Amino acid sequence: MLSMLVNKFPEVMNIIKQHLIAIVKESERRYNAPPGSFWYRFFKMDDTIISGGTARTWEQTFTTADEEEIVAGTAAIAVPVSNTVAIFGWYCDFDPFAPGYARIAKNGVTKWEMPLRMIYEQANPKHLYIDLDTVIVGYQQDKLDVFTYQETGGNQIGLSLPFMFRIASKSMLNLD
Amino acid sequence: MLGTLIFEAPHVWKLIRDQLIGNGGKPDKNGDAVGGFVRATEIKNNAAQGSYWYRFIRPNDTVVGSTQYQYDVTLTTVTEEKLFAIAAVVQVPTGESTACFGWYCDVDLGQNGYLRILKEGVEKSLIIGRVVWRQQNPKHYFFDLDTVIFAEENASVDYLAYNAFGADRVGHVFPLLFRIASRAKLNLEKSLY
Repeated sequence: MLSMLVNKFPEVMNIIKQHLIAIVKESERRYNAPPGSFWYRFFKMDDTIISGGTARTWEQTFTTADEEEIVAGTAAIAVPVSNTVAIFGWYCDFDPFAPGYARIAKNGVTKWEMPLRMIYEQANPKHLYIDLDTVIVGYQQDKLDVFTYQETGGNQIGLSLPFMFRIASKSMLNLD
Repeated sequence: MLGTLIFEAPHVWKLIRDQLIGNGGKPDKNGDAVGGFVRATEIKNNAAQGSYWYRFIRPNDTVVGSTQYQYDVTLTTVTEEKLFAIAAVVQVPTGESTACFGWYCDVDLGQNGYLRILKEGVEKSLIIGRVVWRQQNPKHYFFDLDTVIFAEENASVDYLAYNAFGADRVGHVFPLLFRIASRAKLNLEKSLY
């Protein structure tokens, strides 16, 4: 997903990468892992951190006037042992109407909140909102609630997901 | 909310961050504010350097007083309405500050619609609502860097929107308002980078 930024906004991509590398190093330190053993990648819908989801499809059906979690109905993300997650913003490609919002709570405390329509209206790159002032990092055992709220009066099918990276050992991430 | 500027207008993003934390918008090596409104608030409140930060206002912040997460408002016609159409005057809490850099308005408030800010009852800013609504790139943002309104503890600030459209309007109309306080109060953690 970072590659969305390679052509037009390489400087933003670099800032995110610098953040990620700092978090990778901190994770190695916290989890007593040898330097160089950890890395990052964008989360996948069938990652174990998304409560063991098996579906590979990213779209979800969001019911109206209800806060829904990342896979439209699952529980909070409990960050597994020796893993870290870092959230840099949000992506939303449907109009949730004026009352719609995105919200992230860590261990029950709201850390980030944003009108979702503003994210949907982002133009360049489309529908992507990057918030470098409020990067949310969840270390092992943290609970993250990642909520989408829409109020269109009907169900909405689309993508509404955090710009979230999973940080773990390269073998856990299936990376070479 | 500043994130919108990262892609569209990074130079403005830096200017605003410079006013908030000084040093051209770049924190020091520990991730702390060097100058700007954040450091001024730390000094005023005898707080340790690095303990304060800023973040965009939320409707459910104590300084606003709502319990809702929604940013949208219903503005009735021909009445001045306060921030998020719910709250009374913003009374900046002890040990905190607020800084306002402009407005966001994604509904047409009519030709006579306006956005107005009073501090301690004195008018500090008055902007045509339709101008803000018509801003492009980024859409609906109006940054007034010549009239940044900085309010320190116990100041009373009115953020008023006036809808002259002739019917109720539902949308996002709010000041680009930052709350400056200790990181614990803001529920923020220090960034590693």
